Amino acid sequence: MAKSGTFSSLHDWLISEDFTSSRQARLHSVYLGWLSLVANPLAFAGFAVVLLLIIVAALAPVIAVHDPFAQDFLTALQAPSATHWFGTDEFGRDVFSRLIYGARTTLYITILVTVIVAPIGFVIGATAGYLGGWVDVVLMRITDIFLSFPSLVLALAFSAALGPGIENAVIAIALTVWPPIARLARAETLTFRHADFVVAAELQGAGTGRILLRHIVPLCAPSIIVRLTLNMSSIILTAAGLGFLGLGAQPPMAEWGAMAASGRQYLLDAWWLTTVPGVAILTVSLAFNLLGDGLRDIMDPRNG
Amino acid sequence: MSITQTSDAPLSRKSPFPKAAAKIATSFIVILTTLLGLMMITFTVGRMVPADPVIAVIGDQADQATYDRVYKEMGLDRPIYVQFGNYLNDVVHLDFGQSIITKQSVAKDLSRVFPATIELATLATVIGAGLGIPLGVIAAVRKGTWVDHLARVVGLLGYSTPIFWLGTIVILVFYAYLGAIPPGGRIYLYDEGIVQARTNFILLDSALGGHWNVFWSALHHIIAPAVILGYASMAYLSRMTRSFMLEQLRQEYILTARAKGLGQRPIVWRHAFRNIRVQLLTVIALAYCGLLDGTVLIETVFAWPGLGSYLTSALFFADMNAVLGSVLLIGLISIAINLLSDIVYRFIDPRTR
Amino acid sequence: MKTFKRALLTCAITAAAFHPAAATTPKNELVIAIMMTTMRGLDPHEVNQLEAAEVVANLYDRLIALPPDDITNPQPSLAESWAVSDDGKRFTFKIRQGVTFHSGNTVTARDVEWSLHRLVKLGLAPSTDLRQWGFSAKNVDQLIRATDDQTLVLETPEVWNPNLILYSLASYSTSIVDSRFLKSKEKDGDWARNYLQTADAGSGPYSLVTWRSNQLLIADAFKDYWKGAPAMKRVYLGHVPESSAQRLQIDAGDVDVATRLSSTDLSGLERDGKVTVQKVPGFGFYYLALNQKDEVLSNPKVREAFRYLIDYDGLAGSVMKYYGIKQQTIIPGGLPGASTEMPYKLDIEKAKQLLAEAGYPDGFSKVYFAQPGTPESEVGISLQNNAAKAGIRLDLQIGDQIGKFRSRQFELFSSRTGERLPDPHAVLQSYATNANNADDAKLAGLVAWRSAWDVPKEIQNMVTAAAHETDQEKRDELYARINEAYLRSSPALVTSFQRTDPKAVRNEVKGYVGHPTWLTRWDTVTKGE
Repeated sequence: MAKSGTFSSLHDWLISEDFTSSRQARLHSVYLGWLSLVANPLAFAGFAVVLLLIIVAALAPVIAVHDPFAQDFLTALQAPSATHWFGTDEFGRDVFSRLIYGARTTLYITILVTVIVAPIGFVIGATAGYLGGWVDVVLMRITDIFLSFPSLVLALAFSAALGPGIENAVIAIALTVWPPIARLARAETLTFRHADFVVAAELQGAGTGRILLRHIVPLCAPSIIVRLTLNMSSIILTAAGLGFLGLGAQPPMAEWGAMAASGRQYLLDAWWLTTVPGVAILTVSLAFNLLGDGLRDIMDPRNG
Repeated sequence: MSITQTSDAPLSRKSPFPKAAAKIATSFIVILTTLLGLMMITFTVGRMVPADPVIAVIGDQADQATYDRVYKEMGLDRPIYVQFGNYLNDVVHLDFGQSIITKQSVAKDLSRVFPATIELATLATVIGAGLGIPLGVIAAVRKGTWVDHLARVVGLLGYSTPIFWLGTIVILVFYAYLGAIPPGGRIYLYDEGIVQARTNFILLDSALGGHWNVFWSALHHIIAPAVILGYASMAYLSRMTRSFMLEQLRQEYILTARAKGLGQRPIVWRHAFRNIRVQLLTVIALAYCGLLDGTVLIETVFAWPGLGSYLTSALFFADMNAVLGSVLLIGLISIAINLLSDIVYRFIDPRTR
Repeated sequence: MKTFKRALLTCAITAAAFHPAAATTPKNELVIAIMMTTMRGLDPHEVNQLEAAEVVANLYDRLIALPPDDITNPQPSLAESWAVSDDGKRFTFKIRQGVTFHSGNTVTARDVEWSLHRLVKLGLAPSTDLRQWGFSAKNVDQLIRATDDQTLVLETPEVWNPNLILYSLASYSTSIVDSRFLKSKEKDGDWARNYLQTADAGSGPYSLVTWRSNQLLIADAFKDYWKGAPAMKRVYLGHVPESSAQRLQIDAGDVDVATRLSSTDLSGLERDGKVTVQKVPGFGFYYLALNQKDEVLSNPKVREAFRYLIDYDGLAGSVMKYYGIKQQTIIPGGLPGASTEMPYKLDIEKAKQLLAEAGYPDGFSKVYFAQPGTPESEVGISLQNNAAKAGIRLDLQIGDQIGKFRSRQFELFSSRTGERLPDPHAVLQSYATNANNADDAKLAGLVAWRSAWDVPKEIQNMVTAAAHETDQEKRDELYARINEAYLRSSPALVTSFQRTDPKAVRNEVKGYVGHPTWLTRWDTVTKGE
């Protein structure tokens, strides 16, 4: 790879192992990770699609050529054409524009669930692993109870109980996603529990919270991040499944699962209504899986 | 599909008996608390569902006096902890109450819908394991080649496909356009009422009764949903198989065998594969559990009268007893399968014996 | 490569299972695709829903029959003849002789007496059909009685138009059950309610073989039916919840009749020509309810504004094409007093102007509950969109929220109604009477009360008067006036379409005629080429 002057010197600085600062050391490892990501075509493809999703979601109003909510019964169920690239739905709304706005919904659900789940899962798992004893028993018992349901059944039950709506779907999904994270965090914590630096910190009188935050978090982070990335795919699928069953996002919000579901009524006359959002779900979910898979190879070689 | 292994198997070699007894006692307590937790969650869910259970019984146009009377009859006027207590008591006596949709006892309903799901999940697992395990083995043996990459993409695709969507597309293509599969359900409507229900497994019942046309009809109906579910579980199984195999192929004894000049095929199948069988069994059990998830959606798409569609309609129509019963059953099965794979693991795996 | 061979083998087995999809249904059997999810039990004195009513209609007989093509003309059925006393309060029915129940028992006036008592005393949803005329658990023993095995006397507490009473006795809810047989099935004085949920005790042309909820129902022809054994030896009702699946199956000949299709699929089927679509008119409306306890929504100008926010024409040409007939007032087409006047159309500007006059130039935000399923959810989504253009932000929640509507805990609600009497009174009573608008009056059976709408007294009085009126001409005139008054009243219950229930029937199936009060019969069905 030929690089221009500044880039090549930056590259050299990043690749060099003669660190002059801890910042350089950290950037070094990130950069190495980036290089191996680029070297893995599948993972990089996943990364590219995820990036594209983020860009599309951010620029939705610019990219969408039509108003995704504008109805017109006169143009309902039109096949894909130059004006409506992916056709129109039963209300005459532009499917392409709805698909673009749907990216926002998908990203919103995925990020929100992840943001909710990561700290909860970590705190529960790490606390259980670090403190041990009855705290461990109680916390892991609760985790196991949640784990004993198949996740979609649990999400479906909670979602039905909380009522339709995207926020409720997020809560319902979050309730099903945290237990595996907690288990992972616990397992990771256990491996570090008696490490010298943890014991040293304890001897220095550091509190539990401080030890968890300063010492355990950084060590657990890689495997938890990998797990969360792989989880995003199942979050997307669960959200779509809920949307398909009529829970989750409510009209007029564009959500891929709900779009695919309502399109099923018109399956025979308007195949695009179901096909297009389905392909979108598949692509994005595959991308997160590829990315997560690649990240695992890079960040967490133990499980590779 | 999320599949998580909950078993961690600590081993002990000396004086197994008292330890084993303690172990059994602990597992018993563990199962009991899990069950109690399950029931608490399902009960809460059942009471929170926004649809009005009384209206589900009496219909929309009934007057208030009727409403009030049925409300009382259903015990909804009592405090929530009393209701939960009553429910626990009923469950202990294996009484799940009556479904307001089917007007049958929930236990009887479950005995009817559950076999349909088991039939589907079993066939799907057979398909998934039959294709996934060989694929995983090949991928491991040819690690890094195009075969491996292909296996990885196929596997990840299985993880990533919205199963309800795939089902819909399959119906569109194979039923609507090609006419190769039936539209859904377990058998053709006009084949109903011929076979005597003994086990409620239609394939079994029709074969036992010698109704081969019904048997073919049933097989014909089950193929599409089973293949789709099987694909999802194949993805998981092939990936797990690959990683187990890789671990084995790195072992000392394989190197020794190779050094002895043993051929590739015996090394792979007779040595490495033999050693991962137990692990695979556990994974297959977990995949089976995961299929219970998949059935919820696929049963809706294929109008399959199983546990998944029973639960879904119960949730939507505030059929609380049915919700409680079926969720409890699903939880129980998950626990049972986990436990079973745990036990099998301990008994068969030479390293833990 | 061993694996590859195995994969090939698997493919071969799979292919073998794909034996050619069996086609058409047997000649002497009828297969109907329905949506079964809301079918709850088969007790004629308890069910309250279209699909279950059709089953009950065929398992049981009633005193009176209403022909689907001449719905307002009562015909003899189990009652061979009847007479009405001069004061209009006493009805005497002569019961047909030689009719037997499926159990072999003979149908007598005692069975009729027991059945009607059962309906009133159980007091479940369909009991309104008799209770609304003043029958109650207390007086029914007195007022409805068999004087001998062949004679039943029914007295009404007040004078009503006699047709209302006769129509009621044709409703599925007044089905005649086998009293001697059911008494043996009774437990703890439950009128055999538990038993009858999933069984049949009727004299109708079909007897129940199997019912598996959300799956299928099988009924066999009753050989000794008093009108002769039906041509279709067996009838299957299959649960096919998806419209596209129903369409595919009726198209392929896997089913003969399909009853829950979307308008798009119905158009597609009609285009293909193998199927005839019946648009069976029902006695009910698609309505939007505005809660009158809400300060904003109780403003007459706001109520009026909503009438300009419904896309009557757009809906009529698309999702409502087979599900409704445009109607903006309250009497269903074909009944006395019906009107074709339709002054309202989608007009965002007009709505904005009305909102400004009402003092809400910038609109407002409300929660809007709509029912799931086609076409109700589409109607809701369309309204939400138009309201947004006029500045009204509706938080649309699609789901089963009838409980909230009944207890007045809603802001906007839309759904549809379906009445069982082919008479304007059935609809008007619910939409246009509300004797006591207080919360604790709990007249929860009436949509007007649920909307907390204090219907103008003038309208309420006319409705009551018309029900008691025995002079048909005067009655017709009253209904025309009521209809007009409702149209001008800026009602809290905005009607947009008269309900129709589409049924797709394959061309070779003859005699399956959709019945406006849900009593579609199978014994008239034959299959040609």
